Amino acid sequence: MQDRQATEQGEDDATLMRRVASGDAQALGIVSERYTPMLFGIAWRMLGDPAEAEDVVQEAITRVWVKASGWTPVGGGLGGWLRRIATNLCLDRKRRQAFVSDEAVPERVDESPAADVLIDEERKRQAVTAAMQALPDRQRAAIVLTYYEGVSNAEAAATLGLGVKALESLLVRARQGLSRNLAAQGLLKEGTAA
Amino acid sequence: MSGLDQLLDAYAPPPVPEGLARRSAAAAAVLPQEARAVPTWRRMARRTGWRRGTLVGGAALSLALTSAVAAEVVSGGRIELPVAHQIVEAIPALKEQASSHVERPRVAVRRPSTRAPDKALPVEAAVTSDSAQPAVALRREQLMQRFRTMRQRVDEKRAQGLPTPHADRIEARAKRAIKQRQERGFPTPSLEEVEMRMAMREVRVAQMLRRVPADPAAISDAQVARFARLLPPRRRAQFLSLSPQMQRQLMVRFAQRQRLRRARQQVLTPPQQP
Repeated sequence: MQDRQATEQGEDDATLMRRVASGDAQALGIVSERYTPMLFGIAWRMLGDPAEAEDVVQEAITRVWVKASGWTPVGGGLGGWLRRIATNLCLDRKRRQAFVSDEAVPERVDESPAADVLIDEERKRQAVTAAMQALPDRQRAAIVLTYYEGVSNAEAAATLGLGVKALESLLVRARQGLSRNLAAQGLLKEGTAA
Repeated sequence: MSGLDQLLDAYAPPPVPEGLARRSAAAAAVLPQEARAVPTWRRMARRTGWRRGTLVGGAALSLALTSAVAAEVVSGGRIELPVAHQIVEAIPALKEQASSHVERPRVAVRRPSTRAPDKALPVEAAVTSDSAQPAVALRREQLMQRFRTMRQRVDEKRAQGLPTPHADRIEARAKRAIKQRQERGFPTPSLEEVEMRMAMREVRVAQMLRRVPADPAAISDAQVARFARLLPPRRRAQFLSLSPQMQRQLMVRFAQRQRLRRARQQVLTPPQQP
């Protein structure tokens, strides 16, 4: 959807990438402006940390520049390629974090009762964030791609290197996990979620 | 929209940091770009798999063609590949050779015998071997030469006063056979000729029986045929009417009897004085 919008807005991705491949930094700037929001959204939802998300965006744009000559307009186009790069970079980071320390473990949700509506909204947001971060990495990636990015199951499966059936199974388990977690905190009734 | 979807909507990212896109592009643009990757030759590559097949096929075809051309040049014959002969004809140095090729008649070549020729074979025998029945004449001359050698040894023994029972028996049988043929009015060969035939037959029988194994199953068809040829006509017919198993058992028993008889004779015969 975003690809189509971008195409309508100006130069199409293939032409831009040809320019990037020939060393045109201005074309890279256009690509970066076009896809940074998407990349940042994926990275933040996957990692839950704005600084880490910025690093992922930076690394993805660097790959566009370095590997532009090898890019071909197949599959999901430039958007699909960047989505795959960002998802894999996030999964790599999560994998590395798992062996570093317990600093990256998400904070426990504040159990104290809320004083007013704003605090309640903030608590709800923190609870969802914590529930998302508590999901296994691939389940979180499946939710981010299909729910937030609006990618088709087939494309999401290709991005994660899975079959469509495997992705669907991953999605079902992710939604069940989220529902169980949020129900345990009283934000969701048992059995209403997935 | 389910309750979970409403909650998931709350999981929204913060706004993109100001200038992130510009900073990212500027940081990336200072790095060197990779050159276009050479297509990999993976077996299952979707877009490049056909190229490898074409290249391998082309290489195989060119190899076959060059091999055919080389074979035609070396052998001087025509290879059944039309292109190969055209290529050979196109080379000026080889054109004459290729066009002047004449189909040579095939001649059956006898494999040279590895056996050394008999030293005692006279030169005349070798010359006459090219006559009408060279093999038979040559063989006959060889046998006669061998018989003369054996006869010479027997004469030497007789001159020394030593017993020669085998030679005496063969001589007596030969004389008897000649006498019978003369009485019936049949043409009679010389005594030497008849003696030679009888002696050689006994030698062949002894050789054949020495090679008969103790196990009937180990006897070959060729050995059975050889044994049958040595038998007199009536006994040969009887022998051939038997089953292969019976033939082989009979051969084994016959060979055992011959060996026993020879052993007994050696025991009974007193050792010869030098």
